[in-house]
Amino acid sequence: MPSMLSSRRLGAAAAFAALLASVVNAQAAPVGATVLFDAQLAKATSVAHAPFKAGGVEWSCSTTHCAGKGPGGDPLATCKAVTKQVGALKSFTAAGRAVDLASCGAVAPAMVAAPMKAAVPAGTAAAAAAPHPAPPAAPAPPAAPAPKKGASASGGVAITTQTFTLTGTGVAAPRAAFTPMSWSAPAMTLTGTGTAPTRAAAGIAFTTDTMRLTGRP
Amino acid sequence: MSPSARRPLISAAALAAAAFAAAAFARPAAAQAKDFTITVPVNVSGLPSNITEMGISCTIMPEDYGDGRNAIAGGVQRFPVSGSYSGTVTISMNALPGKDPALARWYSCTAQFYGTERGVAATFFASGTTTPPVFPLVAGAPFYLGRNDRWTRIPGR
Repeated sequence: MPSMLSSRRLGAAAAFAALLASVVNAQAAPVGATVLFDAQLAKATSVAHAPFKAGGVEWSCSTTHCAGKGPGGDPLATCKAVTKQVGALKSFTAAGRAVDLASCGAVAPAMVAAPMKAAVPAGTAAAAAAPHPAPPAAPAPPAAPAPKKGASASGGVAITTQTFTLTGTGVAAPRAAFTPMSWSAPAMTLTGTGTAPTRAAAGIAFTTDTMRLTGRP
Repeated sequence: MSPSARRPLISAAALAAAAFAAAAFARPAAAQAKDFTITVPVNVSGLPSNITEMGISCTIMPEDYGDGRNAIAGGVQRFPVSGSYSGTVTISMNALPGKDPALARWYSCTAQFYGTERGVAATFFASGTTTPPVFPLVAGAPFYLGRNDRWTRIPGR
């Protein structure tokens, strides 16, 4: 009888252990698990991107977003892979969880928050060029007044920022100044080798209002 | 100890397992809540007609905010504007996979405007300052669009 009881206890303990393991697994990152991805394009395209494979995921696209299903072990790598194919993104989610676009290089250049610098006086050249500093020992002086904070209903962090304010005149952006470049050379020579390149080279595009070539008599 | 005396022990274990299971199944609903919710009041006006969208992006960083790879969470909202916009924009985000939301210490939010300039897509006030490309502003009027090189301490962290 005691041995029967022991087996019952062992059975219950085993069941509990199995349940515990399943709970732990459910909370762990679903490494290797198949998840749904959604990438919203930063800019709608006139024609939908053809289906492609990136980051081990098969993607199909509309003119505004791409959807894929595949391994969810490394969402950031998947985000980077799809960004290489379709360009800047508005959002990227893996299994419903947003991936930081700045980290995966998917943000349109002006939206990138990644080049983070220490606080420097506004409007100075250093503000744009300062290298990443060591973190401050004390809180850096915030540019905005102290924000309000409260606990959200979910228990997460809730913050309200300063009001983003701007008053324009309604006038369109002024035409950017254009400084003509002057370039002269005694002769321009280009000699091919007669062989085709082994791989396609990345093109360089250069756009300007006017290209003027003035010859010397 | 008799078998009957031992039975309650087994039942207690089973009850504990059931309670644990119930808690586990209840968890997904709670997991849908976001780790960070940032509310950004917006009041912009006098936008020229070539401005079609406004965007707000926020990033959450740990104590060491100097390296973008340390980002704990990030989110972007882009929305159409026509002439003006007054309201709040909410950016909700979860910690990135492998990042601990409890380590969040700093946040930064910035705003930009999108449109065209001479028919070419352009971003305005991208630096959060009046560094071009910009559009004309009313002299002396309040101006604040946030800057991604300015970090604000998360209150209480």
